[in-house]
Amino acid sequence: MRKDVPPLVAVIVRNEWRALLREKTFLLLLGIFLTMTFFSVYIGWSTRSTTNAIYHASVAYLATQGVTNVIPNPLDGVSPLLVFDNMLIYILLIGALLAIVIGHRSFIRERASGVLPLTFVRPVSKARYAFAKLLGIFLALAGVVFATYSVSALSALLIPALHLSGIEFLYLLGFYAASFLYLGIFASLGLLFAIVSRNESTALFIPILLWVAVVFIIPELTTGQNPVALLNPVTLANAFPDQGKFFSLMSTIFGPISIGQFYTRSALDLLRSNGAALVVPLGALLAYLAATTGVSAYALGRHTSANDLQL
Amino acid sequence: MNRSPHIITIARKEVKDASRNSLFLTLAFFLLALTGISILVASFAFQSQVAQYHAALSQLSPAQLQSIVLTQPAYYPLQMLRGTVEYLEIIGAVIALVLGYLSIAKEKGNNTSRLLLTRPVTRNELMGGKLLGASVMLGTLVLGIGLFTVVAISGIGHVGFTTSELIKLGLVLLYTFGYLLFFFCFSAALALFISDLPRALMLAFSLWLVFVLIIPQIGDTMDPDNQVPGGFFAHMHMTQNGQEAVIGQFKHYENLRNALEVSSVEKHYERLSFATLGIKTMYNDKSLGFIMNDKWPDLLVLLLFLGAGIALSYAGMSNKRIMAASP
Repeated sequence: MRKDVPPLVAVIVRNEWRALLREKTFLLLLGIFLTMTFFSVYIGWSTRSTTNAIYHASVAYLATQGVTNVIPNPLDGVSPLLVFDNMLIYILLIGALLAIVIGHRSFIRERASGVLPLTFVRPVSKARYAFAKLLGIFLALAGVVFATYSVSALSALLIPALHLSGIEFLYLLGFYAASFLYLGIFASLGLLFAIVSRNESTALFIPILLWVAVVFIIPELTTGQNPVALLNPVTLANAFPDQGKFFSLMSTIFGPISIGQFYTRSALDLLRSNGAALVVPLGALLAYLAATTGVSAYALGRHTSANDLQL
Repeated sequence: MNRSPHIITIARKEVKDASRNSLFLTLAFFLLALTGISILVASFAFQSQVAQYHAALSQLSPAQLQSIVLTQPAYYPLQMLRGTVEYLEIIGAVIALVLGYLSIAKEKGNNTSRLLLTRPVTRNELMGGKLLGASVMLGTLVLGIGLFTVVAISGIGHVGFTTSELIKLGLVLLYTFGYLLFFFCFSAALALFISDLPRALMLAFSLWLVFVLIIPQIGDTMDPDNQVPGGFFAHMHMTQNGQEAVIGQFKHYENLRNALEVSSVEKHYERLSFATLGIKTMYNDKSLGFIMNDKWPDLLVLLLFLGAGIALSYAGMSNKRIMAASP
């Protein structure tokens, strides 16, 4: 009997993949995400090269006005990986919604089709079922993140003027690994609220409201930046809580739960090829991922006992 | 047969349903809370600017004060509404999408559409009633936010509104109403045209994501002036004339960036609202005539989007479609 259990876990994991690839919502969001990933490198590179050209045109203009003591180009010495900084925004926006959909649909699908009681006809414990379910979700998410990394790397290679070293490709991989931690939190939340809420719309909207809080409300309260300004990676990189007592207080209160800021701090450091200050934000992301996954696993075990099994 | 009672009965039912829908009410209260937060944050950010100004002033010697010009931050209550307008653009649009979807989904899901069409109600009356009901709900929401804004700003800033400011605020509320009604119509039309309801909702959200968040974001991040904190041209100590002369050499790039921005209805609503409220500083304290002279194309596009949305929702309301997804 023990021999049968591991294949059953594999069956549940494989089923997650198959069912997900049949989900039109998932495929639509994935299509948008990968398309934006492909174009983000070009957008970043084109913006940077145009700004460089504008700098030289500005220097020439200032020279005609008799100004010779010109400020050095602010883009000199900036990490080439920062052409990917728009990806940070797409991960905050599209990636998080995609992760919520992955987690949400994973449970809603099974509840709607009524396969849960059938699953437990087989010799599988609730703990093993929860493990397989979460493994399936995280493997699907890892697949999405790896596909995104591959598209980013490929589009970078297609721009001849953009030369990335091997180390920089590794930092880019690190950026996507940090993104996986951030997205994993939202996938777990999508799963958690799908389990605990009987209403499908409410189950989808609660994690979306939490996402609004993470992306817009908390950063606004702690930095004083307006919501749309927080969708600009340059503003995001320079949004520090240094504007007085109110923002310092908000920062103290909301700092420990600023999942979005933990992610942006670590992601921007990785894009700057700077690994020195990564421990705290990455550790915080990992802790949140462990906590949300743990709570989801617990909820999965509890709710499959009575309501959903209908035994 | 008097036609108007049918429309009013349907509208009344729409209002009743929406006001009993916990999701709509939660989102509406959430938006109200966001309005409060954004006004509070804007007020504290302004206080912080004033404090920075005084701190800078106290550090300068009398000799330096003669050569360095420091501008004292001036308080304009309408400028406190930047965050509110941005939340209306993003979350307000979601509320309108949800309302539009629910309005059609409940008829299809409950099979009430079949029953409704056995009564002497035309399809135009049905859609007219739904639009009227949505107008009442969205109008109440926008008016509620407007009143909350006036009370919050007067309370926090202890500064009243002038008549001109109240008229400008009223106009922005009207633009907001039109913007939200467009999203209602858009979502209702998708729920009518696409028989699979969850797919229609997700498509509406995906298009919201693309046109409200992503496209304007691309336009914004492509702006060369946004590449340096505080602004590229300010960093270079360029005058307005110099900036225009340099940017003039990159017309193709700027045209592409602008084309991306104006493809989104959100940007037109934002430009119009920011100009009317004086958030865009060149329009601050200017007359409505001056603002409209510049911003009428944005108003026109907003109206065109609204007209297209209404036309699309009426076009979607056929007997076949309203009953298509009934299980």
